[in-house]
Amino acid sequence: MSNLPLQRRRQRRNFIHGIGFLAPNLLGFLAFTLIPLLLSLFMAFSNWDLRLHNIFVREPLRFVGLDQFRTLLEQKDFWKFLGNTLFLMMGIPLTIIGSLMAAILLSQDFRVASGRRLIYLIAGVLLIGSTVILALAGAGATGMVLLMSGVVCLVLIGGMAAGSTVYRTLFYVPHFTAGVAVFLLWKKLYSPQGGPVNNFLAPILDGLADFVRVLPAHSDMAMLIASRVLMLGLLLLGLNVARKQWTQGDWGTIPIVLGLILLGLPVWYTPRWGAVPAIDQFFPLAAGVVLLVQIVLALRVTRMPCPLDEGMGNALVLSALLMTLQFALLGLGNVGFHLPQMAADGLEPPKWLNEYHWAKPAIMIMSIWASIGSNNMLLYLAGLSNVPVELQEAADIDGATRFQRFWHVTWPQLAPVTFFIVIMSVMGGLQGGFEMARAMTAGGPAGATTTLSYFVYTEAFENGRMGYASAIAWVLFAMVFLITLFNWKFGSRYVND
Amino acid sequence: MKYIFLVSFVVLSIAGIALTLTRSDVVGDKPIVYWQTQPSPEARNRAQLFRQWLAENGRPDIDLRIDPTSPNLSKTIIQGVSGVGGDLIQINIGADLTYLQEIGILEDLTDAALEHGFDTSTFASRAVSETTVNGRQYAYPFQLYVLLLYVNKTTFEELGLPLPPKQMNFETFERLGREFVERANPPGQPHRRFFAESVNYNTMRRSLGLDVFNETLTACVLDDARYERVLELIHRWTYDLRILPSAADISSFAATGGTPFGPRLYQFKEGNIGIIGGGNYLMGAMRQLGTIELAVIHQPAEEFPNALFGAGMLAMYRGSKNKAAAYEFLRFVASSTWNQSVAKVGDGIPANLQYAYDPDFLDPPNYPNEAGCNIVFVEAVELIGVPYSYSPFVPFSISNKIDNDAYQQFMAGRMSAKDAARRATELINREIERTLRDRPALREEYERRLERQKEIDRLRSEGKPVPLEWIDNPFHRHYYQFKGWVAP
Repeated sequence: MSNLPLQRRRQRRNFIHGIGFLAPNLLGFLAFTLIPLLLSLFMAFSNWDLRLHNIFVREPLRFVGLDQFRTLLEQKDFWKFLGNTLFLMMGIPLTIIGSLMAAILLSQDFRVASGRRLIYLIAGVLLIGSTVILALAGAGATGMVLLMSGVVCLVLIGGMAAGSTVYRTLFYVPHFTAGVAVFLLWKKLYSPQGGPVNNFLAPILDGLADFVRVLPAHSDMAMLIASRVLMLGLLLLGLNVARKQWTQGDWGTIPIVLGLILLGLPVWYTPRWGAVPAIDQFFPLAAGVVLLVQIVLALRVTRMPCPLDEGMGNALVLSALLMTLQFALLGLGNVGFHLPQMAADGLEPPKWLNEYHWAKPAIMIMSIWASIGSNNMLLYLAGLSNVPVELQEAADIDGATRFQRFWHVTWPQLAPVTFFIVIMSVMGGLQGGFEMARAMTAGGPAGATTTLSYFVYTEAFENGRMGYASAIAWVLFAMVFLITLFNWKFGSRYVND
Repeated sequence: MKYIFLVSFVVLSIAGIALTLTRSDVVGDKPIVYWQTQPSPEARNRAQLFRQWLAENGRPDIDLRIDPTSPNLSKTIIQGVSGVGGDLIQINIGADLTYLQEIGILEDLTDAALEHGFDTSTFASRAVSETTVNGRQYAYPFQLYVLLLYVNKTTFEELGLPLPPKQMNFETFERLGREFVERANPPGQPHRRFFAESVNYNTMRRSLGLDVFNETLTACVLDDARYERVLELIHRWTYDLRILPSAADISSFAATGGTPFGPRLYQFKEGNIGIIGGGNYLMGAMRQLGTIELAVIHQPAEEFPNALFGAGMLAMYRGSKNKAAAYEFLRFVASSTWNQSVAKVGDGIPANLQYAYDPDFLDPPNYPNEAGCNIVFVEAVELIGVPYSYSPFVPFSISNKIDNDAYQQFMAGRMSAKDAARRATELINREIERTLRDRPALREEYERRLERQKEIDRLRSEGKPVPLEWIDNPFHRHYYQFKGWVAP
């Protein structure tokens, strides 16, 4: 009893010390995160405009209710910029696959026996030396190609000598290189005339043009029809899987409906985007027949009961993948149809950042390059090292192939890491694109690379509409929140399973 | 741990206080003035000249520091509304001045200008609307510019072509352009040489009597066949005839050489571009590239010859803590020393045009290759220069972006000329409605102007003249005078 006040005093002292330690962080969080966050929420419902409300001009601030949000949703540009943001996010699956592949490769040991290292090193130095001499001696472009080949050799030899640490470092380089420097470098790479990317593509396209010119007549139509048949095949595959999963009770009705919507999008767009309306208008009809057959087949068997939202993740992943492939085939079919006509005057490489339709893919390619070796790769590397060896050994003893070991052991074990990466990538994707737009394209050409985050910036700091910019930011937050919630609800099951 | 924490805290606090107390503006014996401008050798030279001028005139010494900024206003706005703006702000167009004045960050300089002998009666009359808002002066014009075209005479001579005339209509421009690119680009080889780097669509449509806004600046009127014609012409010149480079061609130039004004000047010097657009602020950069034999001509224009005109201006931050010292710099800008330095350096036209007729400015003795160029600029300022038009009912940054965006959409093949013109008109007019909704205080003025606009339209439809004071749009003021539509 007599120790109680002493104990309380100690507790209070510890509390004060604890708060003292936390204070810098807490104050920073309050000043730079929480208070601005609340302020921006308040601003989103006000008419805050820099021209009317600042330290020099103090017109009364008006509460405008949902006006800013209404204006935003009525503005066509908002939907366009949202579309740009979502388009750039289509690179996320490729990034994740790339990071995983890089991590798997980098978890191997590339080192060779110490006795041979010196030989590799001497060979590498000689190779590099000779290519540098060739380049300096005026071998021009050939010298540059040799030099680049020499660098690649050096990297390979370095890996053999020093192990995967060399590759891990090289892969991680884009992540710790200053963003603006990388963007400027890519801007040069994408230069339409004389840029390394187009210099590389030009001879390939010349060869392709020569090849296309000697193709027999009607090959354009054949390519188009082949692409549409393949699209139908993918649709059939998707519907077939969906039917089986539904009848077996592995997928509920909600994922089936959502999956059908995704699979139906290319069907909807084919008559609109197709190269030959006379053919493409029949595509929905053919797709309808395929769907009808699958519905009839599904209704003929007794279905196993399951919850309505069962199998959401798998259904969405499969449908999204098949949808992407269908769209790719739609585009390829169109290109194939126009190719002979385009090849008649020679094929020109894209103008990348200067062309409306190529600017977004150009940025997406750069983002994929930068993201493959990013923290995602490190997370996968850590995840791979945590996969129990005994599971791999057990699968090995059971006669599993390398792919089966990966698919049935490694991949499920990496589910928590993948789940985390997906959530972070989606959040980053929705909020991203600002730096590229600012440094590379200023949001152009014709708004093709303006993302929502760049839109927030221009509205706030170029147009002075702080209230409106806050409303955009909160709509962006709502989207991030909803998608994360969705991921959490359906994605976490796979993690816990 | 807690002692380490405490010690770190104390050390950092002491260091912070020490740094604050030893800042030069706290311990220094002379006031510091921050000049927000684009950092350049000329700006540094003028800061040096200012110090000499102070000493020569027995004025107290001032530490003038350059606060680097870009032509984009974002930094100026953010700093200004946060209370930490630079003491002196460089502004390049009147629309930006109006915007900063609306935000409330500019000091009214009307009285100071009178005292310094640099009020609106003393400098070029066309610069008055750029430096004033509602009749009050908010900036000192430190140099003027007008956007014309430079011709590389050597390029034309080498190709055996006559020099383009000082004034060209669209047809002549196209004909000469076709001849140029045919001679300059051997058949069967990539098209790498262009007649002109660009043309100004604003100037072109104005030459047909069309501007972004109507006479009272109450509505956008770009949805007009004249604008469609201009758009289609530029598209034809760029993609069909290839007498102008496309955005992709210009981007490619970036990989092959650079100067302070981008690689375009280098391409101009090399003869890959025969004609380049700009003001005489380009002279300094071109001199760095060596000797280029130059001529200056007007932008292609039809009925109404015109050129975009503007003024480099210096305004004072309303929240400046060193206003007295900042006024000293403004006094310097108003002085003959400054105007003579502009004439001597030749990177702009002195705001006080009496210095612009100095023979050394018109024909710089050290640069005989520029002979005859500056007089074209000076005459253009006096005769055909028209500033950008901007409406009080929509920020210029927004209307200009919409206009430019529609132009880009058309050039990218995303919409027809008709749709681009309609889209620009619809969006700008929607922004005007939005401003009126957000700022009801403007409604009264808007209604007043709308009534006046109706009256102007009525008079014009009857073929009668209109009182000049009814017209707010600077373009229409000049155009009406040119057409003889102004009531005596």
